[in-house]
Amino acid sequence: MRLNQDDPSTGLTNMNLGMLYEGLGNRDLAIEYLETALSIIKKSLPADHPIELLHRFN
Amino acid sequence: MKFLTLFLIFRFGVANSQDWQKYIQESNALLKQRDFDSALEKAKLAYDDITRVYGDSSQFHINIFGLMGRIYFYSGNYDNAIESYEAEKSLILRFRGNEDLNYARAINNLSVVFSSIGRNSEVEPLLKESIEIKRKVMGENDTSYAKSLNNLGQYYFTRGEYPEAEKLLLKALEIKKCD
Repeated sequence: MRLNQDDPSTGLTNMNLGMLYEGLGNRDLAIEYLETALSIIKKSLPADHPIELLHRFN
Repeated sequence: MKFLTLFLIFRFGVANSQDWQKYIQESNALLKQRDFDSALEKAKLAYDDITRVYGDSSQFHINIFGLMGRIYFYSGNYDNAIESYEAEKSLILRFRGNEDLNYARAINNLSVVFSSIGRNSEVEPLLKESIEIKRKVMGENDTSYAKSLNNLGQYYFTRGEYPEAEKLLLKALEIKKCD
């Protein structure tokens, strides 16, 4: 079975990679993966979910 | 007459065998609502019903042990979660063998509990076994296989084993991208 690229589990793998590159000190790559993760995860959340509110405050 | 009585008892048992399925559905719904006590109550009713109809140890108990493992895990009762997942794992091995996706799922769930309570030495072998089963059964392009690669990659990341983590996470992402 193939996953849609917007599946939350793809978001989690992107998030794990983002944190990994942050740990390795590669800030640019970390941001790239974390932004991808955020955009995927947000799609699976309701519009009024707290993560959406947090993002607006940043 | 004796045969007829036995037949009626058998039929009666089978006729009520749907009850446990109803209890499992209700328990799953309650678990989603995070009402753990009620979910466990329904799961125990299902367990009793399955045991009454199919005996002490049947393949129908697999579902119920998996469900109880989840309820105990999410309610923070890790010892009972391990006991339930171990029981699930043993029954799957007995009835379906170890090249079974349910077996892979059961040992993956067990690894999550061990990881949560810091029994790290038990996590890696279970995740590796789960990955190997999924690779054999589903192939290397399957999403479920990718999810297990992600889990092991995440485990290596938390252990500070970054090169190994990177390799697995990138591989998992590559599979998921090939949509």
